Amino acid sequence: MLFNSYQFIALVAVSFFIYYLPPIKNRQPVLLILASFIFYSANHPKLLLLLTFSIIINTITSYLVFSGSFKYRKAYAATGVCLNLLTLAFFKYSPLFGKSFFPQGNSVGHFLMMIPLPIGISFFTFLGITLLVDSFRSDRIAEYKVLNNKSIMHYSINTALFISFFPQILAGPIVKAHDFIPQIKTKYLKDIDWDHCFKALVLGYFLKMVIADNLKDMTFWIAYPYFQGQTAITLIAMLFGYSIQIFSDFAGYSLIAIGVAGLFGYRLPENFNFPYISQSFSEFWTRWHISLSTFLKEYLYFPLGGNQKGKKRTYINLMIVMVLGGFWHGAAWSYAVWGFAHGAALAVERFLRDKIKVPRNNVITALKVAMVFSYVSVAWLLFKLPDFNHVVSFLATLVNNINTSFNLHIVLPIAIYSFPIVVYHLLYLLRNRTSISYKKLLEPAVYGFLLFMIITNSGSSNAFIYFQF
Amino acid sequence: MIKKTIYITTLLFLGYNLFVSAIKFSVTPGHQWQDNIITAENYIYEQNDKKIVIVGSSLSVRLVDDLLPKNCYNLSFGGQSAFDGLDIIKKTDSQPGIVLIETNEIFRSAAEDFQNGLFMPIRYTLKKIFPALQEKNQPVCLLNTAVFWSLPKIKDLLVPGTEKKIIANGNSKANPSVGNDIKKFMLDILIADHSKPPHDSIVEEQKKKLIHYKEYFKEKGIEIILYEMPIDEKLANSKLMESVRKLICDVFPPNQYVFLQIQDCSKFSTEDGIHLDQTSAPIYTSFLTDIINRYRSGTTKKSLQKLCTEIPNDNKNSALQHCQTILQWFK
Repeated sequence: MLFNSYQFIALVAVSFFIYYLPPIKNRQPVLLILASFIFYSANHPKLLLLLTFSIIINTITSYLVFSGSFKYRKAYAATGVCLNLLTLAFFKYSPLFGKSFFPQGNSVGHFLMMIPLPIGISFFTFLGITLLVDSFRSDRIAEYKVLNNKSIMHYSINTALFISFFPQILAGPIVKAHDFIPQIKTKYLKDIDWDHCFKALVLGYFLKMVIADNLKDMTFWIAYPYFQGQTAITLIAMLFGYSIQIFSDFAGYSLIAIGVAGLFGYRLPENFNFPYISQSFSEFWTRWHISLSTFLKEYLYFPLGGNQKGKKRTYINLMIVMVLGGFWHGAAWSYAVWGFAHGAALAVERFLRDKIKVPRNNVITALKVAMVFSYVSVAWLLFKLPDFNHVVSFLATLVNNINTSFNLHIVLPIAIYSFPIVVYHLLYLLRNRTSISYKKLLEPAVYGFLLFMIITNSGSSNAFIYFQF
Repeated sequence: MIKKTIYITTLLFLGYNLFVSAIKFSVTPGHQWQDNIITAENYIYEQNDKKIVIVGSSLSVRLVDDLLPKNCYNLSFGGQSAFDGLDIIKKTDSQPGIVLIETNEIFRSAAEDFQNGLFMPIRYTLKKIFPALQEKNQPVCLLNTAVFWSLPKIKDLLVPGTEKKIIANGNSKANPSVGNDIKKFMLDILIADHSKPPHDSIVEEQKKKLIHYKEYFKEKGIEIILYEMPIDEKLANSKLMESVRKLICDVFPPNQYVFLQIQDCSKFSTEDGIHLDQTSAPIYTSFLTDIINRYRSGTTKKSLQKLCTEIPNDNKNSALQHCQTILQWFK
């Protein structure tokens, strides 16, 4: 079920109406679980079995970690984490395994390649892992006031809600157990932050439906072999457009998730913070898909030793985290290359930061932003063209077709649809130079215009890019 | 803040709706999907009273509108099939006199998403009431059109007589050799695709649909002309095309229906093997127009039918001469 479908709007409207009815007050989590199950199984009811399996595994193991014998807590947590990772590996990486390690026509290889990828599995298995790890970390247990002195049934309901909560189950933001579970309590209509929800929803739908869904029809031509007929300027414009599209698509999704969750009284973490103004790769990863990068930092980079075990080990840790992060996105070697490219950039940046002192002025800042953006944009090619040979061919075409002509039918719409995103980032950069009263005055006009554009200028509906992960 | 925002949106929307209702534009679509929706919506909301309707795929999109007969609407869609147009004619309950059905992509079914999007009850009604919601009236589509309209004028004003560096039609010609690579690549794919006849189940399925439309149009008194767009000669007599012809002749007996085929496709040139290029498209359009006019002026079906079976083996080397020869012979 897409966030921009009528079914979704109907589901939210009906759930919202029932949710705040006084007789439902004590059953709100159950209602949300029910809505989440409807949402998740709308297109493929069989997938509900997998989600239920994940919920049961995580509920049992985390409950044992939380309340079982102290001696076996680590074993329970490790078992739960392994079960999550095995589930993810089986469904997500079997096709790659079958393709890479079995000859063509082999029945085992064929079976592995035929295993379907259940939507959202990368996200909800990570939620399971945060639940287990947070349960195990003793300092976090204190935060689980909601869970204290409650029955296993109550615990199961809370866990089920945490894992299946529909605004975030398919593509995040990956909320941590210690952030979400304490929020589970009776919600009241009067507590809704309407302005916050409204702004998140309007901006989210604008980014998705107006920007991303329209840009996708221009960036379509990045596909092989169509890019071969385009000039360098057109190719650069398309690459720029794809960067804007992927940001708008995912940031839009995250904002809608935040807005919808807010309507039910839950705060999800911000997932994007103007990533394309980043002056360094490390800064980029504090602004892009924040919930994933903090997850990887907290649950992988720190346990590996982070930067506490010497320089070489820090570089290795960065590479491990980013390559695994790349693999998390998809079961193809190109995603690993993408992760490697980002890991290498982070490692080189860290190495150079200690050696070279760059002067600070506006020109240098602009150059740094342009460099990070260009590198990130070229790396996105690996998302758009999963065949590595096609990426190389794209770059070769870009170099070979340098001249001043360009395809205006592609370049012009990309320029038009990218313009609001450029302005969006620029306004953030200039945020301290504009007065607050001025902003407040303009806010309704800006959101009014965005809403007008959603109504009149939405592109053809398309699945969110991150759904494939 | 929410109330103010909604007031502003309402004002903007009503004002814009008034603007697009008052001024009619001929827009430049941003991309193929948008072009398809605009073509469909123009027919659904404004032009479903046309007496001649052409339904087809991207092959027929190449027909030049200005050269088609008056009162004719080209309801062909890039990347889709004749069934999309046929479905639209039926759903709008329109009553053209003649429907021309392109047969090349007849094994392709109607695009479900496309049809659902066009005829979703709430959306359909809203678009009818508020033209601002129609695809062609999207603000960015109008902006796009304005730029395309004004750019050559500004350019000529600034630098009169200079060669245009902006290539505004499809793939740029910056590197012709690369263009040829794509052409060869596409043709190879098409040759492979055309070398196999479709699965029997697909043939049966499409046959049922064609019979359904044959009966539907018969009941409504709508005439049908079938035509095959000229394609690369390497594809013209492929197994796939033979299956197409067999299916058409099974459903529409040659003694009752007109089925136009160009016997010698080598006279036409294509961009990628199936889409006529800028030289051949106007020639074929004129030819088709001439056939339609003759058909309407009472030429017998039998005479027209000869076109698909007895085209003379002339020695002319261009599509134009070829079409003229066919028409002269036909007289």
